[in-house]
Amino acid sequence: MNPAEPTLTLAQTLWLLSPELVLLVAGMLILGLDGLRPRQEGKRWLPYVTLAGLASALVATLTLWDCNARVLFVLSCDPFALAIKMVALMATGIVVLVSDVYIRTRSRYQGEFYALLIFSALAMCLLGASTNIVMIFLAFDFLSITSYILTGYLRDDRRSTEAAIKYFLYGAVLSAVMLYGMSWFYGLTGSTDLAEIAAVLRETEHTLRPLILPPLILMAAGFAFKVAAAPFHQWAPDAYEGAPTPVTAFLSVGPKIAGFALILRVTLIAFPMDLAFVSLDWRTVLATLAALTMTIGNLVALWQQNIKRLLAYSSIAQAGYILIGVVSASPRGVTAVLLYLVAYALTNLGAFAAIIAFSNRTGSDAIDDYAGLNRRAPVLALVLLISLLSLGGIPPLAGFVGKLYLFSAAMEAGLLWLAVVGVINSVISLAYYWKVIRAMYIAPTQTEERLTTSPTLAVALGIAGIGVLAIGTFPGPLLALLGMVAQTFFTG
Amino acid sequence: MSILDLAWLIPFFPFAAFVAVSVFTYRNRVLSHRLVIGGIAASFVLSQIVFWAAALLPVGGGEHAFESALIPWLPNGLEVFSLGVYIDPATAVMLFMVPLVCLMIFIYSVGYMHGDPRYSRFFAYVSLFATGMLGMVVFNNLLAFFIFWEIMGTCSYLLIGFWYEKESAFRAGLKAFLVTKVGDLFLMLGLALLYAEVGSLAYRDIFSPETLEHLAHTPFLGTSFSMATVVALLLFGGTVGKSAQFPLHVWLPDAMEGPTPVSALIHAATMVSAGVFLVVRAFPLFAAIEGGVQMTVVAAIGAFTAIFSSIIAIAQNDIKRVLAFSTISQLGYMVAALGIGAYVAGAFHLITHAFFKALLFLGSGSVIHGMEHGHHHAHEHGEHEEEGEGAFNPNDMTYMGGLARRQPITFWTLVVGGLALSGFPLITAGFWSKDEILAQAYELAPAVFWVLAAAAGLTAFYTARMLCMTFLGQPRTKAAAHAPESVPSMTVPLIILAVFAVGLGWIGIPEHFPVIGGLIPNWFHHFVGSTIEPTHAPEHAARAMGHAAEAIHGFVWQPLALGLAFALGGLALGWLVYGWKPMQAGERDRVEAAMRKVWLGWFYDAMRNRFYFDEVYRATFVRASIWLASVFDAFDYGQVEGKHGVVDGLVNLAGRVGRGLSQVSDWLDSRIVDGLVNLAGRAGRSISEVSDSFDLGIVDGLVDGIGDAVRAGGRFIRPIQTGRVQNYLLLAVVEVLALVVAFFLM
Repeated sequence: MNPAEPTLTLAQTLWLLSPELVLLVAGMLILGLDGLRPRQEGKRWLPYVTLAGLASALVATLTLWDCNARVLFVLSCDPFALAIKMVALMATGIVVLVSDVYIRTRSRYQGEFYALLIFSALAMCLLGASTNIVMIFLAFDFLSITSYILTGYLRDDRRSTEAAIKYFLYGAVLSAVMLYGMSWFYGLTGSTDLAEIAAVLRETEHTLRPLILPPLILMAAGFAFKVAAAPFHQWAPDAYEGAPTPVTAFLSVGPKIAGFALILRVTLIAFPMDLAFVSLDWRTVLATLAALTMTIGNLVALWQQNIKRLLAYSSIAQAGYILIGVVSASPRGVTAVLLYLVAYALTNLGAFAAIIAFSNRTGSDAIDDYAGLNRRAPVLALVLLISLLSLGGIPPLAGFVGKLYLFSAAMEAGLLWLAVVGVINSVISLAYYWKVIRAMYIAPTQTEERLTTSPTLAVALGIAGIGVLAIGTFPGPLLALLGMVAQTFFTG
Repeated sequence: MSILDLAWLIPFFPFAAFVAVSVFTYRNRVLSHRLVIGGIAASFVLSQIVFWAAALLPVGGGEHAFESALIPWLPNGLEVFSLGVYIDPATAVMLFMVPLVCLMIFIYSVGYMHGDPRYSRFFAYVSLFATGMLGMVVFNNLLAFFIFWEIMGTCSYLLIGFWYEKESAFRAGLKAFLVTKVGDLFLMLGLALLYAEVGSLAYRDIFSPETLEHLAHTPFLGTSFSMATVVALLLFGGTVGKSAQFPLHVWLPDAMEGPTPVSALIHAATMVSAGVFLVVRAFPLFAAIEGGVQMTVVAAIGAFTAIFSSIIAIAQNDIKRVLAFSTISQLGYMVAALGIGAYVAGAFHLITHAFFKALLFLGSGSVIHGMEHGHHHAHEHGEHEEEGEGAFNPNDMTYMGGLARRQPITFWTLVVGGLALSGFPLITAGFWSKDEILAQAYELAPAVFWVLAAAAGLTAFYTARMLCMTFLGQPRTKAAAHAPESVPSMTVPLIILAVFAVGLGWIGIPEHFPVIGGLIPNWFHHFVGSTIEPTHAPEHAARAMGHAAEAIHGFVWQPLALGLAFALGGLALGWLVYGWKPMQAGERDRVEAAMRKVWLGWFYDAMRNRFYFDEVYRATFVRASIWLASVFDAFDYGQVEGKHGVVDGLVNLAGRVGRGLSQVSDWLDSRIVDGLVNLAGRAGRSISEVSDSFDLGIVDGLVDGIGDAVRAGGRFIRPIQTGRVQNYLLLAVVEVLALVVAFFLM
């Protein structure tokens, strides 16, 4: 496909891979440092080493900012991949902040936890940059496996173990289904490179159309599993509820960032809009999934009494909104997806930070126990309020701006009905977000005992709260940046 | 830099007060209400300055409106969405009205809310509410409009449900929020569609002649409707929700559960007028196609709402509910006026109505306050009511009577408000605005004229009924006999509002009115009429406006005479029925008695029960959505918790058949072989448990052939074995196949 692709020297290759390499080294370092002093209690330094590793990778990513090259034939180093890496690294950083106290007080083993988080970040970076379906599959399963282990991390807790096994079985089957679809594409086109697949399809799509649809759906099923989109979302509520809460926070954000990056790259590179039939097919499939996801997620969320389960269904519904932007398949659609991913990551991590802070002190995840939180911990309640309102799409918060762009992208792409479903669903979602808000601010409380928050959690809460407000009120600079990133798929 | 550049401060002052009270001063009640009143007073002063500056300049509509961009807000591809202030005559007159009425209501609240445990919170909320309304008015694009509109919606929830210990109040708040949300949905879609088509939501862009021309000639998705029609109808959906037009009027009567100042705020100055103001604001769009279906819909819904709710008002005994339905009816008037193209008349009625309806609500609040104190007083002195404790309702007019002597200020101000509402000729503001609507309807749409005239007669009748039942005759309960006059912080706002309820009409006297016409120039018409300028609006809009404007230049006596006959006739009839011989305690309502005599009792019951709209909605929409949600719930959550729903059952059935076969051998294995091994360990267990597990294991196991055997044998592995992840997987594969099949069939 790219005959003119220049060969890179070893130094250039290593430089382009520096974010991934930094993460690899950091993960190994943590495992090693942890193993050196097996008996030491506490190990309060672990999160900071992890943060330092993530920060170094972030710096490495920033130095690559203007690059646009292919590495080792299967990875791309373009603005889109770099942007996804930055979002993934920052989200993982916030997860580290919220994990600190929770993991220290509940597990004797911490080193592996942080190493696994770093490796998850590495998997997300790879997934965001893969341009070859073999590489995609490898990165996909890499991320899955680290996620399974993290889900079952509290191995003495039956619920955590149960969640991990369910997640693992479901994931194994769905990645097999996806792999089948991928092999089918290889059979049809004789290539594993996304751009080359597009080139072959351009010649053959008229005759092959009936054969292209099944693998398209098989692959969509795997992608839908990764981002927890209906009807392949069933693992999510169980896994989210059973997993240690910081891992739930990670699962609700990390795989979604990587998964949507993957979906965007595969659909826009392998099945671009100039393929009339194939692009119509995948857009119809994903539009169906989007509508299903939003509706099922929101309707079921209405019934939840446990806040982790409520947010699980909420995050299923959120994936549906994001799919709207994917289906739009336009520069504005891609910008909207990226903006919404950033907004959603900050918002959801803020909400989970609050939940973790609450459960660290009270040990409860029941919504009824949030009664009177605004008097017991006003700042905590405020951040949770901001997060929930942002998830519900209330201005002037990040979620509102994100939804505005998603829906406007859909309208621009002529998908009026999908925007309508999205708007109706946003209204429904307010009902269950409001349930939590009502408990915090209006319901009478049994106890007036003040709740304190640990410093790391406070930092996470502050970053999320301020970020959500800042993006909501002044989305300008971020939007300009993401609009530029979105051009990765639309130039030339 | 003109003073108008500072108009953004108008919503900012109440917002600052809201923040200050809710974050810092909420423990100090007096400081809190001072801050809030100070905030609204500051925006009142600034609004007056802006209003006079705008009036003297004068600003016009369209390109002659004052606009200043403040900040680049949302960059969007090539262009930047900027936020700024936009002042045209419609904005200016709203700025004259809103802060003034709000200020009166806030001052009144100091007396009314005295002693409430959440006093500061109340003031914080009303301040935010005022922010919403003022922000909606001053900014220069529909997106900002929508955001402030939603802030108001949220505040309405908080304020209507302010006394949330009362189940009914909490429910009313929720209902108002959800029902208006239905309308908001349409509004949001309208905005999205408009934006997708025009690429801007700034007033100057979307109401420019070129844009309107473009919208009028673009078909909507290949249908015969034009884009302008569809967008206008979607925007009107927002109005129907917010301004409580049929069929989304059901939230407004329940909203009376809020404290009375809130009723006045929501139903006079702010929230409900927001809906009408939306039509006023977007009028060029509505008028973009002459004789378009959108105008007919607006006029029909307005006129129907006007007559329909005034019929209901006759049969209500709760003084606030009478006013609630009267509000719905008057909003119907304004909407109908806009629908027939009488833009200026509709806007004029919006302003005058705000004053006299605020007056009526605050007056009724004063009455209720008096009744509560009277009840308390009678109770303290051991004079118990015949009705007993639970039955006493301070809002119920059948418990009142004779309050004119106890509350003279309230009485006289309410009489002024009532006369204005009925359109009592010449001296009240309500007369001039209503007369203008009727005169134009007579010219433009005779059918609408007759409906509105009949509604005017009914309005006069129920107003007379309300005043007579409340104030005349002898007190019908001890509470009424002991009701004291309210404190000055409540009565002074009443007097000020009463002055406006009379005087405001004089700025809009038609120039051709006999004798007094032309003595005072018809300032309102000239000023607001200039919003839509024939030279700048597209051809069609110009013709619609020109036509409407012509009507007012010649005096036609028929609508005046008919309107007067209806208004005075209604008042006189009401007085004859309820005032000539005032009602006695325990007497049945006279209209009810008369209707029952002629076999119309069923119709009266329907009127009293608001034509059963709530019941119908509950039986259809509410139940359907609960059912839908429960179906999805059973489908999903059921698998984890063991609840079995319809879909779940079907899915499980397929799983059971398949597993049944394989599990029989598995069961033999685990029950017989493992059972023998475990027998020793089980010996200690109670006999009942053994027989229980045996029973479950054998009987159910044979019947179901599935995991029941496992459940009985070893509960310790339940999380994995009966975690039903098998179902997930089976379902996932079925789903993939179903998707493939479904898309192939398509």
